[in-house]
Amino acid sequence: MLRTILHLLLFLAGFLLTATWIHSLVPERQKLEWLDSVQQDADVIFLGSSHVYRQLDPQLFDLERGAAAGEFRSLNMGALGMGLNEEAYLLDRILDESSPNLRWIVMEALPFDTEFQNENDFGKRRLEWHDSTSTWRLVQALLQGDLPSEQKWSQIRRHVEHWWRRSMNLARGLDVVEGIISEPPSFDGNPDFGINQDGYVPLEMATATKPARTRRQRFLKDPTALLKAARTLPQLKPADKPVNDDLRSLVADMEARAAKEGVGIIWWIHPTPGPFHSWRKMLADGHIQYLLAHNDPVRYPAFYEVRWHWDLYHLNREGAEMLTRTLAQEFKTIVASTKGADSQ
Amino acid sequence: MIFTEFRFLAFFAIVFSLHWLLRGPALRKSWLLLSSYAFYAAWDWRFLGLIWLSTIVDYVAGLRIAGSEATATRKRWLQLSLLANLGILGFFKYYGFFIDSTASLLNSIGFEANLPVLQIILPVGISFFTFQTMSYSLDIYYKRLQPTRSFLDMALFVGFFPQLVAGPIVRAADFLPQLQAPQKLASIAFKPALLLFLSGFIKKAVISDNIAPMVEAYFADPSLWSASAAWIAVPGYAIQIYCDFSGYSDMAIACAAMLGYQLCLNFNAPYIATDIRDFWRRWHISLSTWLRDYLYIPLGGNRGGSFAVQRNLALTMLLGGLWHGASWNFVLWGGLHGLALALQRTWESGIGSRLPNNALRTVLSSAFTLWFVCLCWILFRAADFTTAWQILQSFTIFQAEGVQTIASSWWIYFALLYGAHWLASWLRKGNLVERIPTPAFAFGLGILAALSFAFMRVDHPPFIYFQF
Repeated sequence: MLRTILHLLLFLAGFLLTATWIHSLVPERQKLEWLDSVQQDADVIFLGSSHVYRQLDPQLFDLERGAAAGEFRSLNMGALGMGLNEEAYLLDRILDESSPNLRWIVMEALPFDTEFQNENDFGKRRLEWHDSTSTWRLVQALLQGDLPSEQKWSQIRRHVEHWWRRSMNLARGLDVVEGIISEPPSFDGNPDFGINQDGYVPLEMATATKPARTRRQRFLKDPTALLKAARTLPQLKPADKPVNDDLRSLVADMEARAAKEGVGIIWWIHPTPGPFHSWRKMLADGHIQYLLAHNDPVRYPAFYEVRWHWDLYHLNREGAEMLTRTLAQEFKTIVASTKGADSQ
Repeated sequence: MIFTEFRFLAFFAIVFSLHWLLRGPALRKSWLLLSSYAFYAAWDWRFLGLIWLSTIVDYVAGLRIAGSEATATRKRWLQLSLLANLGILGFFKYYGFFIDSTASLLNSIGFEANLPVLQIILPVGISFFTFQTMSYSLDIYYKRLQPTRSFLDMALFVGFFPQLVAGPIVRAADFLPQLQAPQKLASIAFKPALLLFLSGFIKKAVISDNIAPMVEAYFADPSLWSASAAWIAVPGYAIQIYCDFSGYSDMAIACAAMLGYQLCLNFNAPYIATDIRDFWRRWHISLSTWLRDYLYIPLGGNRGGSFAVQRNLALTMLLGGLWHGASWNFVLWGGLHGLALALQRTWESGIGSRLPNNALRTVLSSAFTLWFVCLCWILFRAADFTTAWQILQSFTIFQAEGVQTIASSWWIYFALLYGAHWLASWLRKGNLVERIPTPAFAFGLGILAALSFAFMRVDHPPFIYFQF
């Protein structure tokens, strides 16, 4: 019996060592590899979904905050469809290998979502962020949540299957071989990283995907949802319920992780038609230190004008420039306040 | 549930553990039977009835045949068994084919035929378990086997899950004695069984499944592709189908071995065959020996004149082709192999016998055999005769309409795989696995498993032979 257990353990050791070795060779998403190659002087990184990728212009941001050429540098790490759990994973990865100059991460404030769209199931990006930490967090949230049983277990199964495929490196062998035998990728001129090679790609006809163009047509045909949001958002009262525990705990983990590396997180709410009360509440309760909420039609009426919008959820290039400038000014204020606090 | 799915691995782990935890052969056999039916029900529980019908009919027929000395009675019960099994097979597998063919024939001679068309689902493994049960009754009829009195043994013989859906086609004479004298856990050779399972897994999930998209793209519309593409896609399919089917067989044999049962070898490095007869001694051995024993020999076998032997060969191979599927492509595929076997006999008794039997002859003969086998696979894989004809033209006279090419680097993989094919046949003879110290074996197996997971396809395409 003892011998059988020993042989089983040896089998597991062989399996796990090989799986770990293969895992270390599985190429990461291109944007992380790109970040490694360009981040030397970066002091600010933007992280989030298409709202970041399509709306925050690092070059303009640097100019606006008064950085002389080469003095400071920001980079855009946004990606289409990113959720909060993926942000948390990327935050870890960025902090693991960040440049010593990194001081701030401007992170999109997103809801804590246990569910995701089917369309990208088992896509490389989704597999990538389903590490043990993220998966366990999601499983716990689902177990404690109040979803109907069938839905709950179906979602748990999907998350665990992502984790399983990631951990076992299922079907990633050819990527590993390709990564070993092919030349390291050259990012120069790659349109995914924008004209200025800072990771920002604005929404224009030339760069928009087909679904983005369809959304634009639909929006231009009927922009009433945006106009309605501009009217009703200021009147929406926060619901009298506590902040979701999963959201609060994940945000606390992310804050602590960044603080450990000497990096500050500035949470950012893009000009959305939604209220995002939880984030304001977390700021008020001291769970987060900095929040720039641009979903305020009273303070930022231009962000709710149809002419600056690409579609309901994104600004067009001109609107994005306006937004970036505003963000840069507010960022300067935060930095100045921290410097003031430090000197005291 | 197919063998390369993780849920099968979990299923097998449960079956295996409980099988060896249970005490007494009756309990173990009952557990295996229950697991086997659960395994089949995972495909489609509705067709369990067919397995039960076949089991009951042949159980009763076997007892009645053995219990009577009167030839007429014995014959009647054998006829009932054959009628039931061939009836099931004929209805579920060939009904549509015969109706279509009859309608086409009648239409071609001027009759407008409106024959009843039914949409019949083909139950998985039907060709395998019906052949298995027929051989049971035939063996009893020819007094080569005593029937089993145990219904449980009979049910397990028919329903044993490792070989239920795609073989090997087990003979009662080999399997029933094992049920009477079950093995003990300590006597099981786990190392060869585990390695066989993993090699089957690699053949199916890593090699066959990864070649499949290239082959599918080519066969979907050969008119788009150049002649050079045919020379990659056709050998690609030869590798795909071999790795698919022999991979399944390897895993089936390995699972059975871990549960204490020995199933017959189904493949023995067929692509190193030196001639077409040698190929059929190495390819789908359980079917070719079945056809030999229950069709070729009863037809007359090698007895009689040259014409009679050639006729027996041709008929056996035509029916062997039809066994694979209800389509004229398969019939022609079998017919071509039958023709090749007949020609080989003629050659060997004529010019061939006067030529020197040296290494060059062996190499040339092996190469020609491999080419011919690949050529026949075109008929096996192509959707229809028109498509097959296009590919045959590319593969034989390099005539193709299309211009698309397939990366020639595939040939490097093919050469490596052919080397592995040789090596595997050589290693099998040496029984080297048993000589590896178990700790090193366990560690190495872990490494191989992790590597095969990394290179497998995750969407688990079904085994090709399930459709037969």
